[in-house]
Formats: sequence, C-alpha cells, structure tokens
Amino acid sequence: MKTRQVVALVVVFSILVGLLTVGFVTTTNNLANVSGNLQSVYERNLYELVSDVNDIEVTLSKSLVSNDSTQLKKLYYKLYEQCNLGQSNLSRLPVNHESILQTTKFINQMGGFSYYLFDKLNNGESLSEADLSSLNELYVMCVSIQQILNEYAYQIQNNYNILKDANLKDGQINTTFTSMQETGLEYPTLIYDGPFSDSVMYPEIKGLTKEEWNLEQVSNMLEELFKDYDVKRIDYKDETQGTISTFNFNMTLNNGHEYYLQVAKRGGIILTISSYQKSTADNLELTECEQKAEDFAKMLELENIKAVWSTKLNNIAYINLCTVINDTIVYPEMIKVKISCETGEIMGWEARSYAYNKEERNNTMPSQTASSAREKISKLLTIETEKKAIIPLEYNKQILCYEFKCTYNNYIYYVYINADTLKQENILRVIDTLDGNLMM
Amino acid sequence: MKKQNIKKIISLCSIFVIIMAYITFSAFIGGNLQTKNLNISSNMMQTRIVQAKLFDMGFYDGKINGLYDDKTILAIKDYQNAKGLNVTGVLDSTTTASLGVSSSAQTNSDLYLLAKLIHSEARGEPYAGQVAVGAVVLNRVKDPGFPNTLEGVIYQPWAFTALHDGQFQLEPNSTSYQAAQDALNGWDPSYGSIYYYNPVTATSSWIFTRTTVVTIGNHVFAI
Repeated sequence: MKTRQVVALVVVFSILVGLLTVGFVTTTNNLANVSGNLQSVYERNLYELVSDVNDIEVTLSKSLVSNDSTQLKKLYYKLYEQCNLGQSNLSRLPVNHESILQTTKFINQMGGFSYYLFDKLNNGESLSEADLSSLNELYVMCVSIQQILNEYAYQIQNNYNILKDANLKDGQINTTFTSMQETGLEYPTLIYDGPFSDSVMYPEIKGLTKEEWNLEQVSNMLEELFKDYDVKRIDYKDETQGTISTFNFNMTLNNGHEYYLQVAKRGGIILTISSYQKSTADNLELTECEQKAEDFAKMLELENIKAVWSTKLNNIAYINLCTVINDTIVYPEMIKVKISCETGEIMGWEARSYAYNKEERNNTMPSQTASSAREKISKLLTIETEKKAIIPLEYNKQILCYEFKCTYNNYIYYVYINADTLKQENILRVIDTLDGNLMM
Repeated sequence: MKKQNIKKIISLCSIFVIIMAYITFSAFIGGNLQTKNLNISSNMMQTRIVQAKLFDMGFYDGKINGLYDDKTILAIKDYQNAKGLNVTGVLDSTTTASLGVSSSAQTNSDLYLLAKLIHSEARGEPYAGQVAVGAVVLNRVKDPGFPNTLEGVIYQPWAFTALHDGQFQLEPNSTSYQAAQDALNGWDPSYGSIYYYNPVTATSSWIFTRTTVVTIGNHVFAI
C-alpha cells in the first residue's frame, strides 16, 4: 500500500515539475522573442533617427547655398517632412522625456519654421535677413546634434542591448540625449507665424481686463450668479497660476450635483464650469436651453452673445455661443455650453477661447459683396445659407469671411470666402453630423 | 477503506495537477504575452460605445468588447423597448441617435484611445480631472516638445504609467468617453498643462520642477 502511495505521489510530482518546466521554457522563449522584437523596433527607430538627422543636415546645408526660389521651396518642404519623420522616430525611443524635451522641440520648430518659409515663398514673398540668420543658427545646432548622434550610433555597434541600457539612469542612451541638450549652444528662438512657433504657443490674452478681482469679489459674484440654483455650498479650493490666473471653487447643490468652477482673476470672468451628472429626462426644448445659455451670458454681463449652433445628445444640450456684431459671427470669441435637459442646470461652460480673443471689432464691413463671393463657390455645391463670419485661421490669425453652408451628395460643407480678397480660405465638411442647427 | 483513501488522494492530486497546469499555462503563456488586437473596425468601435452606454444605464451587464453578440442584441432590444422605439435589436439611426452615439461610418479611434487613456489614468478622479487628463494629451500634440499626433503622444515610451502596467487595456466606461469627447471639443480645465502627476506616487524628481497650474483631485497639472 505504502509503495503505491509513494509511486502515485512521485508520478503527480513529476508531472507537475514537467509542466512547470514546459511552462518556464515556453515563457522564457516567448519573453526572449518579445524582447528581441522590441529591441529591433527601438534599434530601427534609432537608426532611422540617425539617418533623418543626417538628411536634415544635408537639406539644410543645400538650402543655405541655393538662391532659386523653386529649388528653395522644394528644399524647405523636404526639410519639413524630414523633421516630421525625425521627431516621430525620436519620440519612439525609450528615453526619459526630460532628456529629449529640448531636442524634440528643436526638431519640431525647425520643421515648423521650414514650412513657414515654404509657405512664404509659395505666396510670392521673399525671405528676410532674420529668416536667413535663423537658418544659419539652426544649421549650427543641427550639426552638433548630428555629431553626437552619429558617435553614439558608432559606439553601440557591438553587443549593445538598447533595452537594458534604457533602464539604466546613466545608461548610454540617456546620457547621449541629455548631452545633446547641454552642448552649450543656445537653441535659437524662432519667431514666425507657423506651427510650433513660440508666438503661437503663447498667444496674447486680449479678452481680460487688467484689473484683478480679489477672492471676496469673486465669491460674491458666484453667489449672485447661482442664486436661482439650489446651492448647498460654494467652497473656495485653490488658485491656478497658469497662462490665465484663476480662483477655483467647488460647488455642491442640494440635489447632490457637484461643480468645479474656475474664475479668471482678471475681470472675474467665469472660464470653466464642469459638472458630470446623468440627465435622464428630456424636459426642455433645445430653444429653451439656448435661451438659458444666452441668459447666463447676460448675467455675466457679456455683450452681444448669441447661440450659433446647438444640438441635443443624451438629454444634454450642447450650445456654442459667440459674439455676434453687425450680423457677423465672431467664431474666435466662442463659449461652449452644456445644459441638462432634465434640470435646466448648466453642466458645462468653457470660455477660454473667449477670454483669449474678445476684443473690439471694427472689421465687420466687407469690401466685396456677398454675390461676388457666391460666384467663387463650386457649381457642384448647392448653397443653403449665407452669413458673415470672422473665422480663426491657423497660427492666431483672424479674417472676415462669407460663410456658405452648402450640400453635395448628402454631405454638408461649410465654405469660407475671404470678404476682402475673395480667396477661398477654408472648406469644412461636416463629418459626424450630430444634426446641429445653425441659427441666427 | 485504505484503497478508497488512495483513490481519493490520487483523484485530488490529479485535480491539483490539472489546476496547476491550467494556471501555469494561462499565466505564463496566455496572460502576459498575449497581444491584443488593436485593429478595431468602426462597427466594433460603435458597439463598444453602445455597450458602455447600455451598461451605464443598466440594460447590459456583459463585457464591453465591441462584439455584437446575443447579449448585446438583447440589451439593445431592452433599451428600444424602454424608449418606445422599434424593437429590432439593430443599431439603426434612431437608436444610435437616442443613445447619443454617432452613426458615422468613420472610425473615431482618437475618441477611443483618449477614452482609454483617461479611464486607465484617471478613472477615480473627479470629472473635471478626467477631462483635464484628456486635455493634457491634446495640449501635448500641439506642443513642440512632444509628438505631433494623438497616437504618438499616447504611445510615447514611458510617458504614461498605464501603458506599462497594462491598465491601458481596460475598456473605458461611458464617463471616460464623455470626458474624452469634452476634451476633443476643446474643454481644458488644466489650462494648457502638458504634465500631470500624483505628488504622492510620483517617482521622477524632475517633474516637481515644473510650474504647477492647477490641482484637481489627486493630480497636479503643470506646464
């Protein structure tokens, strides 16, 4: 009996050990495969980055010696594309963000700057002295990065494991990229109206008065503003020291709804109202919600604000308010509002764009007529409505346009024709139609 | 008696072995190394969002997996019944509109990825904090110090812990979708922040050198 027992146990134990061994071997193999694959991916990104930077250096140096605008256009566009590839490969490497922050910024800005130069030449303008000296500075920086990168690529050719190295704080890859940022060379500050320009990143705040409100004034304003809400308490939370300084509050209603409020110190304008609540009944029409949103703006003493677009989803009304002057919609001065169709409470309010862009507008009188703008619309499109609008272009520019809502093949398009030059500035297609209404 | 005992021991041992074998194989082979299929068709995408919504409203208690299976069809029928719509179990335009889900044929993978990131990084946070996390991702896309696409920012190595510890593979709930939608619509309670961290658990000392913009819930948002 005893022997059989022992045999059984031994058999069971052996099977167990066998299975564990199979499991272990398979796992180790799998892990080796996975880490091998991952290593290949990272190495590929690294070597691609090296060749991208080498390409960038060549293209940049060619652009410095060319004086033919057609050739330059090609080179700048190529540079823009090479920078895009370069930053993409750089961002795929297993390196600490702080070790590549400056280099990523440099490559992105060089790409943005190249695109700006390409665009400038495309519009028939010529390059300024400042542009050329920026290019020279970029070139010096580029060569420095290129050298460090090529040296690193050369050093790691034997038995290098990028995965292991990346896990070491002072590993080769981290030190290489850190040293790239600490060459003693200053990264050039580029001032241009293109992607990633510093001036675009930090636009001027036009819509807030210089005068700062104190906490007491803001608290009083909030109490007055929400006097029709069944407020349980409004608690001051903290301050925000961002591009716009704000006082932040938590508000609780007696029905349990919680709110987060941010009020700009300058001028005491409410920038954010944020609340998440389930809206389960549809008690209000969209027009009633629009009225509520407009009334709320009036209580905040914001002038000439009208609802210009709205839609209802999940019993929540989404409304875009804009300044409307002389029948012109000022899209940059937009406030996005969410209202619960169950309670009529404001659930969301986002007025940052408004705070940045609100200003006196004198350019609402177009020099071209609407009918001449209409002629610029493709004959394929059926025009449904026609309005005047100030629209934001890329890189903080704003222009007066005629806005045409058109249809073609069941798609809705918005076409914007410059009201002074009749140039087609933008064309939008409503992709995800939420059946929003355009009004006014 | 004794024979029975031995049989018992053997059968218990066999069960033990089978269980161990299952655990061994599933843990070592199945679990960690399984790569998820990230190719999601627009229909699966839409079904996921519908499932999340129905789950939230109590019509559905299955997995949020994007599969249009019997359980999902049943839940859709229940929903249609409750809302007085045609009970078909089909996601027709009336049903999707009533659910507030886009019926567009375009894959909205941006929304999905952002919702996933918000869910995995900030699901216990106040709603504004969730929108703010989504906004940080979008602010990074615009910032020259980061990749220029949403995918690039989210999948950047070592950028988000949720991508390392596997939480990113959790299916987002409807709050995360809502927060992602709000962030994509331009809501930014983080006021242009490009970093956020939990001061209690942050391991990088560098992150503390950034200028704090705002604190929402457990997260400090910074530029």
